Amino acid sequence: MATSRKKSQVDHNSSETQGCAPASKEEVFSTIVGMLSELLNMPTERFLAETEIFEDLPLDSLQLYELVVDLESQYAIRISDEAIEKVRTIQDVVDMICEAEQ
Amino acid sequence: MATNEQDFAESLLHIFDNVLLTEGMALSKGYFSDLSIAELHTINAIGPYEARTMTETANMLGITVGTLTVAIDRLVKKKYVERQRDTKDRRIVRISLTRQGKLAYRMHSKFHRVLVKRIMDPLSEEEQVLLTGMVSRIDSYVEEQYKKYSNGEQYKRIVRDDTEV
Repeated sequence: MATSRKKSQVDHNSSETQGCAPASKEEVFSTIVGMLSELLNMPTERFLAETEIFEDLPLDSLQLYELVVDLESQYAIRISDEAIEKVRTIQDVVDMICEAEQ
Repeated sequence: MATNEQDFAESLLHIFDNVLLTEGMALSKGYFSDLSIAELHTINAIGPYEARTMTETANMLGITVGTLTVAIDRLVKKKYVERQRDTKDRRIVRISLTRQGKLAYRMHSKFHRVLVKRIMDPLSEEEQVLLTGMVSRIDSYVEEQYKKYSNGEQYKRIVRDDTEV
């Protein structure tokens, strides 16, 4: 259930940003979910594209930066504080990474 | 006018002291309590991205390479900084932040951002522009004063470091 939901969400948004192909958007999504799951010690099924990072998850500011720093080195990108402030959902993080990669 | 100047002088000194004190307190109560403010500023000068040379970083901090070497040794030991040799020119050593160093950098810049946000938020947009303009004029003036002195100081530091070694 969770998988099909996240798939449709990713496909649905693929036309909004041109940075990543739908396939790599999915890869980015599962990378983020993997990192969050490890950081928060929660099962991957808990994370959906529409999960709100600050509202729905017990993520403190250090854990947020752990995610940011790990994503920066994984994708060789730079994530600004302004970009982080705009993010609400996991899908937003996916989009942010795809835009940063361009 | 004289009271204005006096008030301003007092406030300026207070701000300077209190920002450093608050920074220190925040640091000692936070995740990176093994870092000093000076070490945090060294981490800040290295930055989270490209590796930097020692000379570049020392210039940015206004200290000698000798002084920086001691600071970096400590930060390497504490696992905030790593050294790499340049792949083309083996004589050049570059320094960069480890994952832990990058986290300290991010948390520290958050401290400054929150501070500024709290100061700016209650002000109108017009006041924010006015304040930013005036603070930047103070900054330029102080920077100018520093430059006037720093050439002589730099020389003194080098002499002092050499005698220490």
